[in-house]
Amino acid sequence: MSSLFLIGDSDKKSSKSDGSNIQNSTFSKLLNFAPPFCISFHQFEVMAEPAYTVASDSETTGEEKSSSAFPEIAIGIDIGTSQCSVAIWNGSQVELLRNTRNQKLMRSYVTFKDEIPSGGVSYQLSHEHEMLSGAAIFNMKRLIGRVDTDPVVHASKSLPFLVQTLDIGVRPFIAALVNNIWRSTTPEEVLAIYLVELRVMAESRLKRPIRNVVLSIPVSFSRFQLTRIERACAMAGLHVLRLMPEPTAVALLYAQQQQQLIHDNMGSGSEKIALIFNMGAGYCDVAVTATAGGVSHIKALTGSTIGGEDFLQNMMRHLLPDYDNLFSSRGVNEIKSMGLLRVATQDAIHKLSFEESVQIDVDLGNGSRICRKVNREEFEEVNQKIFEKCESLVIQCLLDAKVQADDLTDVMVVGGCSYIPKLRNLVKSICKRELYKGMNPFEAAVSGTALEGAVASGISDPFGNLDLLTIQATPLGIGIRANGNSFVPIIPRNTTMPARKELVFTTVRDNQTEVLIVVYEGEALKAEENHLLGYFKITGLPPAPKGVPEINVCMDIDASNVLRVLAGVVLPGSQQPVVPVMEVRMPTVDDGHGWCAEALHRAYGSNLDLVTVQKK
Amino acid sequence: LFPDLENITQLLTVCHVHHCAKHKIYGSEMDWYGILQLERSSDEGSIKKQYRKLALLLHPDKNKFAGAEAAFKLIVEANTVLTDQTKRSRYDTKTAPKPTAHPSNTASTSSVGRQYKSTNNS
Repeated sequence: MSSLFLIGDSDKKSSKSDGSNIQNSTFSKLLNFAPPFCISFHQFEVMAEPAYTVASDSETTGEEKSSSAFPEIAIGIDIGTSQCSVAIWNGSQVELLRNTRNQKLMRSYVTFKDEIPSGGVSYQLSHEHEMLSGAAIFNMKRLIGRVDTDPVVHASKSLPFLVQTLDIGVRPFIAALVNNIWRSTTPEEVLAIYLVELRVMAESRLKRPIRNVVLSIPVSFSRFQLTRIERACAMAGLHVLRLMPEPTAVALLYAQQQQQLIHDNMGSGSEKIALIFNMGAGYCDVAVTATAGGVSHIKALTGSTIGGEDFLQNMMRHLLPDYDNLFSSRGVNEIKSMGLLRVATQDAIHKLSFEESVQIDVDLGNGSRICRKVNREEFEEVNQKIFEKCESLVIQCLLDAKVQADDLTDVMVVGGCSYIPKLRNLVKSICKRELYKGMNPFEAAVSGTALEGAVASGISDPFGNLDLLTIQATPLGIGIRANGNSFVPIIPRNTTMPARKELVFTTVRDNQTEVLIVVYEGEALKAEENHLLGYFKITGLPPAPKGVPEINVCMDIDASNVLRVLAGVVLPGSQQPVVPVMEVRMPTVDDGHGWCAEALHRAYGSNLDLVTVQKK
Repeated sequence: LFPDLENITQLLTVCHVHHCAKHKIYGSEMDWYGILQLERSSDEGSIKKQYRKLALLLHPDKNKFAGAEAAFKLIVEANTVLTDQTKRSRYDTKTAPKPTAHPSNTASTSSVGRQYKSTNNS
């Protein structure tokens, strides 16, 4: 059978050696990759026009509205699990926008108490506990785009509103308690309500309409989750220009700072390797970047759904071991008790960053009262697993970037958890470096998104302060199900974007006329343990013995991070595709996708399977 | 130059990269040095430097011309091959500038030696 694989291989010999497949002539022709030289020249005339239109646009509008020099510039938004902020390039530097209460960091929540829901941008909570009365929904970034079998959703059941799961792979039932009635909502809706407030705030500050935004996102977000973020933005009337993994936004800020320090870095060619550790309330992300001449090249990204929320939950369960039993039902009283405990514990954790021990005294109102001293050691012990996970993320990221701790120039710890002593120490000890002091840990990510907003809007700065570029890498591998139930990555993790990669597959049965391309994203070996992005069928394969048709599956990620999957079939000896090439934009799945993979498997078994073509 | 042609460097770089990508060495191997506009003897430092320079010119954030994205993908690939010691030496062996060093036949009708020279000089 293996001899069958060799047919038609002569023109691929060179491309197989190192996985660099762009010169694979068969498929390149098939997909019309790398336009010939003459076409490029032809495009000179075609393309010149829009490029200049953009330039003249900025000039004319700049004259018309002298109040803001860069009217079309995209704003940067850092949507945090716990706090949000908005920033913009104001023409000479990044500026964080303040709300009417003069806050730069705003709590991320939406309360459904009144007819019109209101969020933490404009609304002033009369009391901290009001947020915990059941009417407020928060932590939406942890819940968005997740199904009710997801462990993160299960962990969210301890939040003081309703998160109910049926464990069948659909979206969880999330609801706020309004006048004793559960008012159901979705994380997208909550986020959209919140984004509308942010937009209104930014519009009133900048005195112009806001349309384009750059948002920061966690590294571990699947592409399906990114579509939910985009949907929330669309609901809020915002167009997403870029979604930036949080540490890469920080990396861009770092690149700008280095650029300002050494103006002719490009000339000296000195490259700085930096590690960025970013931990907020919901997520922990690590990136390694190589920076020189304003170009931040992301070498590796790792991330996980761990954060301040987990510290908090572990501490609450530590203080009240009977937590899950007591709060298994969701009455008004239970929610109130949960809220009180939550506020007290959160407060204690904050204080433990600066004090060795702290006194907790909270009456939960249900007859139980917690009155005790907690020290830092206790906190660290209770959360040992989380700290271990953080350690492994940093080590993994260095490994993926092929960087030794000694190679690092700077190490940054940013995000809401940055002042936890244990975290700072563990990053310092792995990286063998003192921490970088040049940035505000709470504002670094949003500042980076504002820079990207300016860069991606095509704004240039006379002083060269925007001669910046982030070269992104894919945070998760993307591939298809093949070889039985295996996940075969086509674009591996940490591939430089934009990217295009392909692999050749073949049929498993004689006279197989259809194949199913099931696209997943993740790192697990078993296909179904990854995030399902979508699937499509290639039909009309001519009858042939198994292993003969060459099925080329190509994946392309463009500069806007749009993923397209292309599949074509050629028979050995022929250069022409036997069926038209299918090109599908991913993801295609919608909510409830948890069911799809299982249903596909049940309906088709292995009838439409694929196997990888063995490399010689 | 004519001031309205301010993006001419971006455009020319796109053209250059695609031009180099089209003219393959021995008809099958990509001319990675030509794509990065480098000599075969360049050290790693100058490869990285040149890659960053071209990245700033070609990245779709910086260059809105058609073909910029494809050109960027090519320089990334070139950088991947040439900054990895193992990949680079394997590539260097395969594309050593001796017409007899490589057994593979060429699809191209033009002279192999001339083709390599022209891509390297452009």
